[in-house]
Formats: sequence, C-alpha cells, structure tokens
Amino acid sequence: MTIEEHYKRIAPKLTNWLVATGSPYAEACDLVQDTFLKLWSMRDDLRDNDSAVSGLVFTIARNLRKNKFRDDSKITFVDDIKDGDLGTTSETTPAADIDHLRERLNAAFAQLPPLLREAYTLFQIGELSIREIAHETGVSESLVKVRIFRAKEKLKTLLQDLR
Amino acid sequence: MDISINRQPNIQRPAFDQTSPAQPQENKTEKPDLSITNAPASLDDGMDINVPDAALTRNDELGSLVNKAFNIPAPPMPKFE
Repeated sequence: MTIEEHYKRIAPKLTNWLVATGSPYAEACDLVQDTFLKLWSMRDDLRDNDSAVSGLVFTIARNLRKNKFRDDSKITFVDDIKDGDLGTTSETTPAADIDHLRERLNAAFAQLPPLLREAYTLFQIGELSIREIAHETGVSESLVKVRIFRAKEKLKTLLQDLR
Repeated sequence: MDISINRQPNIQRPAFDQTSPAQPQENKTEKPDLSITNAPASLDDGMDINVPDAALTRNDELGSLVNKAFNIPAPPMPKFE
C-alpha cells in the first residue's frame, strides 16, 4: 500500500480523533500533515508492514501533539484553514445541529477519565481494533474492552437527553 | 489385653474449617464474579473481566451520534517527495 493510499484511508479518522480529543481543527490539520510527512520519512522501515501503519500513525500524532504542547509558543499554524471551515459531509443534518452535537460530545468526552476517553475515541473515531489499541496503550486487550465499555456507559448517561 | 480403652472417639471435623491451613482446595467452590457489572473499581488491577462482544459494537445509537458529529474532512494531502 502506498503512502497516498494510507493517507486516504487513515487521515480522515485521525483528523476527527484529534478534534474529538481536544485539538482545534486548524491544529488537527497541521498535525495530520506532519504525521504523514514523518511516516513518509520512515517508509523504508514500513515496507510489507501495512497492518502496523494505523497504530503507528496515531502514535506519531499523539507524540507530535505532546511536543507541540511543550513548545506551543514556537508553533505557527497555517492560516489557510480556520476553525470556521470545519465542515462535514452530512447532507441531511444542518451544519449548526452538527456543530452543537459536536460541542456536546466534546464536553462529554472531556468528562471521561483520560484512559477511558483514549480507549473509546481510538475505537469509535480512530476505528482502531482492540488489538491495536492494546498495543498502542500498553495494556491488555481485556482492559481495553473494559475501558471502552465503561466509557460508553458514562457517555450514555451524559448524553441521555440526545437519545 | 483389652486395648479398647485406648481408642479415641471419632472426631467430627467441620465440613469447612476456615482456620485449618490444610483446607483442601476443592472446598472452595465460590468463584469470583467477573462480569462487567461487578468489575473492581480500579481499572488497572490486571483482572481479566468479561465484556460481552455485543457491548463493543460501533454501530449502536451512541456510535451513530459520534460518527455523525465527527465526520470532518481531512486536510489536503501533503506532497510526499
């Protein structure tokens, strides 16, 4: 699989995951592009190892974001993508409703304990497998399942008025 | 010689003697309930807890809401060269 094919497959999930876990859209876009440029620089090590790429991409993005937090004052974001440009491909729901829903979900995610939030968002938005999440977070698959389950239960409580 | 006087009466041991260190393992019939609803409070205690696969679907009502909200387009692909 080429880097372009990986980008088409993973970049939308990564963008959404970064926004769902606290990055503004413009920052998420920068991180996605930087992540894939880093992946490109590692291409010789990735040949014939397509199955590891999804997890690796999320790990690179997480590390880049941590580093950015550390040196935030040194970062200049591109201005060609603004948060107001944050669109969706939904044709049936007005954008304002989607924005409101996203705000509610972001607020609910923020109330989850960090380990539950990480497991659930990687699973639901990043579409990583249980095995990939276990590998990336360094815990057992059964613990990943427990974290996802508990996150879902908590979210259902927090968002019950939306149902 | 009559040895019957040295015989000890039969001692009835309790069926489940919690004080005895030699308690046979087979008497411990109660197994911990590892269902998700009885999961321990600590998340990182290493216990193997059963989560039903049906609880891990991405296509339930909550998953649909999340997918609807987080359907944001990715940025343009950078030039890989």
